[in-house]
Amino acid sequence: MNTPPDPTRCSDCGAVKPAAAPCPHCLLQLGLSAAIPERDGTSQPRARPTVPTPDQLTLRFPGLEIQEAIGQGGMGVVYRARHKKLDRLVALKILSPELEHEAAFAERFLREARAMARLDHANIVAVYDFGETEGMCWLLMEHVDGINLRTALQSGAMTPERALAIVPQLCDALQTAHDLGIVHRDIKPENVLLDREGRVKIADFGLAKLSGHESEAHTLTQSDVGMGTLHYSAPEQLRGAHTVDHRADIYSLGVVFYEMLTGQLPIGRFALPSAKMQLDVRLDEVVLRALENEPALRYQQAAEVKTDVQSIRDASPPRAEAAVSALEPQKASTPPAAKADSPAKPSRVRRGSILGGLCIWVAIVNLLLPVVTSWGMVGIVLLVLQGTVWLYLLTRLAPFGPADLPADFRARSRLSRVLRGASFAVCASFGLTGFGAGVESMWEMGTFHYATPTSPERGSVGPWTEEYGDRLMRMLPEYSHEGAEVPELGTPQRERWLRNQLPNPAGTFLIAGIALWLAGICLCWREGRKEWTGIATPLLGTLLFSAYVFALAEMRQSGETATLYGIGGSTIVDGGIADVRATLMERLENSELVVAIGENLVDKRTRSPLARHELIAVRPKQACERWSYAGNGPRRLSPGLVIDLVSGSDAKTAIAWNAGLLHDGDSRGAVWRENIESLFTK
Amino acid sequence: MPQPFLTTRWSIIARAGEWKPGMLSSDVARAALTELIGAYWQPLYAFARRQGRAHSDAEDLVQGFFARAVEKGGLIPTERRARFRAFLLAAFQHFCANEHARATAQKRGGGATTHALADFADLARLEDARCVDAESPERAFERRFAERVLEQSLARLRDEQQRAGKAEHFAKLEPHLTGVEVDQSQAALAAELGTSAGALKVALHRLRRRYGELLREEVAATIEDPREIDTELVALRDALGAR
Repeated sequence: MNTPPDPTRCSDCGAVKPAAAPCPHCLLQLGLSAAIPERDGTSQPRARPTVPTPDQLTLRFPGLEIQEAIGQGGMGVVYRARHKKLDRLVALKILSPELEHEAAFAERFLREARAMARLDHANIVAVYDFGETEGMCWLLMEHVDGINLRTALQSGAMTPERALAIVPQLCDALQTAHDLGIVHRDIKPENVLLDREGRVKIADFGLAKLSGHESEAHTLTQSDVGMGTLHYSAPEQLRGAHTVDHRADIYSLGVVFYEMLTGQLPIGRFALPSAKMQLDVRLDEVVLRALENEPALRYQQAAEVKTDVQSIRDASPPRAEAAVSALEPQKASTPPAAKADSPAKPSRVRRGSILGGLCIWVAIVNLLLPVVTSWGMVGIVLLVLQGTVWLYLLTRLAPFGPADLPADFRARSRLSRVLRGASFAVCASFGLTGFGAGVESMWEMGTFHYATPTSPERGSVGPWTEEYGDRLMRMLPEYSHEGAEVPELGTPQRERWLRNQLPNPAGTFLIAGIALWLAGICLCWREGRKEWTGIATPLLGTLLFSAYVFALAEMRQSGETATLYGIGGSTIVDGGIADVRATLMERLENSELVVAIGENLVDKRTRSPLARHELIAVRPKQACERWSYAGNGPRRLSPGLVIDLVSGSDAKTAIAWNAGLLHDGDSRGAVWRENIESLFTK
Repeated sequence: MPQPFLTTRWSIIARAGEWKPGMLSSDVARAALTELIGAYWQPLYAFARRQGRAHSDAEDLVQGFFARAVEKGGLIPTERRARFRAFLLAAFQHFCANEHARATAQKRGGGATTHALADFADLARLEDARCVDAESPERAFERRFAERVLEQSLARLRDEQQRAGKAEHFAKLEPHLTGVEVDQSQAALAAELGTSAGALKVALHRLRRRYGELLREEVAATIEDPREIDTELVALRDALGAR
């Protein structure tokens, strides 16, 4: 460039900027870019070492197999690792190097860590080991397989009874630590972990003290400790008072308790918990007393909080039950409060429940569902609708609680829950279709009588009917050679032949449906072993829905109408399917109507002419499936005698007989007339 | 020198209903006030001016607002997830509305604030020069707020560099934090600083990176949910206005 750049314009984005100063727009962009972590550690300014990668750490910790970083907080990064010798999972916490610019940090850290390691309680995350390696201060802790309370709160499944189950455990932990003179100072939902057994564990005891800054008003330099964390700090902590003691933890406990009960923080003039939710009013007193600004007015011991909470809980179990139903939608099978005390391992029981439910499900499907598929497109639409409803309900299912944590919590976002619910809903819906279609076709094949002479309700069959059938059968390969014996009417072979004429996609549906459905069950099983209720509830609903559909279908079928048109388009009979069928039969027997095989009336699969029996035995949907035809409505003008059908979804079948419109001049007509004559003349 | 994490102090003050007079020592209070004024004077002043007030009135209002915040504590209860930016503006507007009923002369903070006045005369003039026509008071506030956030982050970066003994270096590099580098000028600058062009590139990159992080920290302190940082940054970018 020859011309000097204009200092009042940014050379990158072209925005107006002050001369000799950076461009505000680009500066802001730097902020957005800084969100993406850089891979190459060397490009970081030396003052700020990178977060170590698992590989880098493995070199420094030879006894550990570092797996992955599982959390990052203000204090440092936590990794999941496997202790090779002990062959168990542990958590390795590397403290943030920023904290180490203070003099004698390492010394203080070691002192604090020793104190933390003395804490031995089921509700406190145990510290197994600690040290300082190559400038990094680290802690080896118990690995807790579960989620933190913040995630649980965000999932929206916290209920007062669950809160009442969690708080006593927190109190136990706090009391133990306080007895040893250790104050946590940073109790907040992010530091409370919930594992699969339903146990509560507090993490990071005493670490808050390490960040220093005791001498002045509480200044915090890390970016994630903004206004949010301060809400949990006791007033005396914020003031920077020198007399912060264990009662600050009790204040924080009160904030967490309030948040668990109401979903909100106690800020400003906050509402009483019982005003926001259906709760025992005595809980208000507990929460308020824990939240007293003056430490002297608060609970003086965590154990006192526990005593009060437990006495309230024990005294009013019915109230707690009522509270459950008053809250956000829960499945009907929410575990009762008593279960929270004794988390059982009911996997065997539940597996049995799944299988039992499966059996009942299959049986009922076979009895009730065939009609769903006979609706064609309408049926499918209704199934999709049903699937959507269940999808929605399944996403609301967030089984959570001390006794029934789902099998896999890691990053179970709402999206994955939705996907899981969707996959099950889809499989259930289509499995339904498959079952229905298969069962329907079996039913049809089994119950449909094809005008056999043996069935009394059909009456006798005329001679030319039999003759026509014989001629048709002779067209088949197995009977077309000279001297072959055509099976007689009423014999199983003939029946079999007739049945073979049925195009049968139902078999494919059946197999596909069953496969999909089993896939759905397996998916749910794998995803949430303990979520049998998640499977049973949609099943139940599908059942009820299907029964409803069945009832509807029954009503509709009886109302189906059909019209039989005569020669020249006149209406012969206009009534129900049964009437049309009866009239057709009658006319055929009396030879009043002459039937010919037109172009449309060929079996799609075998390309052979369809037996006249099938023309009689017609139902709307079957007709559409079997014959390919064009257009709607009776075809009056086409040459030849054509059987034409209107789409069954109108629930109207029009059968047009059009013998009178054959023209001699029409070549197609001539051919057909020949065919007719050759078929029916002896 | 303590790291000024302003909003922390602000949240101490603004925990409505809980703060009581005398809760903070007067030293701390004064320090808090000074920091608050230093950081957020400009956006509020811009807002007041754009509302049509004269310089002295606007100045009085802003001073009074901060002084009252420290004195009385708590203006409007903080809602969860409130953004500090919006909260500040709302609080100020609330305060201005109330001020109509009172004589403004009485609200010139305590003695602690007067020492800062002199600095702002210049800034006031700058504000007049920089004010954008046809801009609503709210837009002016937002824009100045965004600029202040950027300036504060830059100031922190400058502090860091100074503590690392690189004050002069940084002074030269600062204008080059943004913008496309031209090889010639880069080579010249590198020579001036006594390093190679390659090392200069790396240094600039690190500074930019660090600036980005500091900016994110600044923004994070004004919002509750760290996941909202990007959203807030984009909002600030919009507030900066058209290029």
